[in-house]
Amino acid sequence: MKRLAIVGMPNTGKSTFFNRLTGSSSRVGNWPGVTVDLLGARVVLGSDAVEVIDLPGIYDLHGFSDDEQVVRSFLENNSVDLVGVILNATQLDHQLPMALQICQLGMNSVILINMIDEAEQLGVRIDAQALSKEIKCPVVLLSARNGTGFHEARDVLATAVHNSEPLSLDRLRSSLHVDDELVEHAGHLVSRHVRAPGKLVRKVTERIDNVLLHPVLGLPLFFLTMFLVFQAVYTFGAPLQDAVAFILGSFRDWALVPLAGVLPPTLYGFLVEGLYDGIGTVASFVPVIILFFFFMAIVEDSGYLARAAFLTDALMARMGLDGRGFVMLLMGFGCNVPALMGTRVMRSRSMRLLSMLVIPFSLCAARLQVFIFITTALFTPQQAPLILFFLYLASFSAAFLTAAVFSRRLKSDEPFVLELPPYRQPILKQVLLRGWHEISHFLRRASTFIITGVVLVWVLTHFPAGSTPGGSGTYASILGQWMLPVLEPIGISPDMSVILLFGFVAKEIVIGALVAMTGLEGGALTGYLATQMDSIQAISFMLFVLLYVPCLSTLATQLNESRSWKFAGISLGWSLGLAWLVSFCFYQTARLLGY
Amino acid sequence: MRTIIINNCTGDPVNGYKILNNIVNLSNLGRGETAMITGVHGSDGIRHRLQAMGLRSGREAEVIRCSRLGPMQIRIGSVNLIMRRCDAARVSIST
Repeated sequence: MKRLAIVGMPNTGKSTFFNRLTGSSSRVGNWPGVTVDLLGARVVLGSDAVEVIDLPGIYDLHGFSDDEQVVRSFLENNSVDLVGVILNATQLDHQLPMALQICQLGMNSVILINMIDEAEQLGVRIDAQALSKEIKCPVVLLSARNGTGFHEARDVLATAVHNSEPLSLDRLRSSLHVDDELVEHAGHLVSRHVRAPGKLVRKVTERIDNVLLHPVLGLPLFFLTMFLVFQAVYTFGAPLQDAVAFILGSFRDWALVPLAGVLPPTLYGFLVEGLYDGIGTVASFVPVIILFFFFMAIVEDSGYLARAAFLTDALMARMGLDGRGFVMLLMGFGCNVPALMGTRVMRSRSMRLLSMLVIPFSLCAARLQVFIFITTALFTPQQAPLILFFLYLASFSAAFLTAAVFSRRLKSDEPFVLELPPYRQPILKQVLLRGWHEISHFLRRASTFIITGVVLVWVLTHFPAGSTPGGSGTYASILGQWMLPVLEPIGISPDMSVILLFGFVAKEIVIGALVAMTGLEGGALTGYLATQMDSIQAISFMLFVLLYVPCLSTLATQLNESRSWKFAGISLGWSLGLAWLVSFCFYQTARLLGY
Repeated sequence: MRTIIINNCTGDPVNGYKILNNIVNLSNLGRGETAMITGVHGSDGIRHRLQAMGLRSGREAEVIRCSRLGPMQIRIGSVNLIMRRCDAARVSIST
């Protein structure tokens, strides 16, 4: 198996090219020496089976950021037969030095000058043949967006990878070079082989920016955009969720129950009441997550994300975060996990850690489901939206408070510099692929948690054998009794405290756990909930659920991304403490006031 | 060459540079103004990063827009960057 690594700066269309080359066969995986997940795929190029890896976008091979270290250690620890260097044709003066860096390391490389369609529109002409001859490396002009030159690029890569030998890793490790000469060299190359107008004017982008980055209108437009994205996700998402629930319910009633009926009661309960209902709960999230990333990918690919960072940076700088942190915080309202992974765009570790402490307070879709369920069950249709609004407010406040508390400790002197790409029309296939990657990641991650979580609930609520399901005497109620001294002052009943235990695994299973524990559904479950808590207890419970702990996956991601048990531990301790304190203050104050 | 204002966004001195307010740097430019970059100042990591993003001596920088409290948008050749004023203050210029 040959190996081809795709390298390039951010905003070069690297992912577009990677996706065109690999189709939907790519998946996230681990590689030696690299502590983050990378996207890889196996494809056939010419006569060879080739593993293609999409490395993170970097500005410089020798840089100090996490991404740059990831790329370096990937190249140092994995034998790479060929490097495909993606450059943005409209910025060759800026980008060529990195290509020269890679060539100079002695790596077999092919230079893929992308976005040739945009460059031509702007009047940039590139003499690829002459450039190729001078730097002794194949150069291909292409547009990964519309496919121009793609087949040629594929063929050139196939030939190059066929004839290449992996570079000795020792030699690679020892050959680093000073940049200034390369920059000068690149300057000469560009002046000889690239003809461009003195100033690249992007009239459309400038006109849009005049409106979207307007000193007064910019921020309202940003919040309007975010509002519309969320409206779209949940307006389209709700009926789809209902459809999924209907299909799963029908399958259960028509096929599963009659078929599994022949099994012994314990096994039947495990299969139908535990496993299947849990899976059903997860499945109902699939539409919302797909829609969320569909729209988020549009926001990102269009170039608006960088504008959002520009607009919100003034506010975020005060809290020790940067504008990208705010965008990730907003992303976190869909799901904390991708938002945490998204903090990789931040080059400074301390700022990244701070953002990763803050993001788990974003009221994610999973928690929203719990809150919608509880507010619908226990409050009037007039009250419910107000309660939800209050919870969102609490979510933002907790995030800002956390940032304020930790910003002194996690101070950064990293420069905030971000490229502002021109506006581009998002490509449907890209947007869909993004959604696909996210959902497959979610399902792989969630399914394990759901199965573990729901089976655990089922065991805890149905054993020791002979006890009433969910009733006293089960392991669940014993656990609930243990936690009573801590949870009573915040108004949480022992039964509900068992639910908190499972909310720790994943918020997605909270409702499923309730169903499994009580054996009730629909109206009966709502009625049961009303016996467990009044409205003040319900709000206290929801505040606690909002803050007490990110789900196990979030915690795992924090651990993964920070590579620090200490950090994950601090985050866990802080959120548990904050949750208890907030719920305590709320509950006791409300009771004191006589509610 | 003169010493340059170096501060992070909280206004503290960074990496031994003192804050001086009378030095011409990129953050002093207004909307639509251009200048030649003469140097980038800060720790190795910071300098490296700013240079890799196109802020190199000899390049011409143009201020496209500045928000009152937030970052500035700078154009260097074909690259558009947004950066905070305190980071722009690391870039010395001659007009």
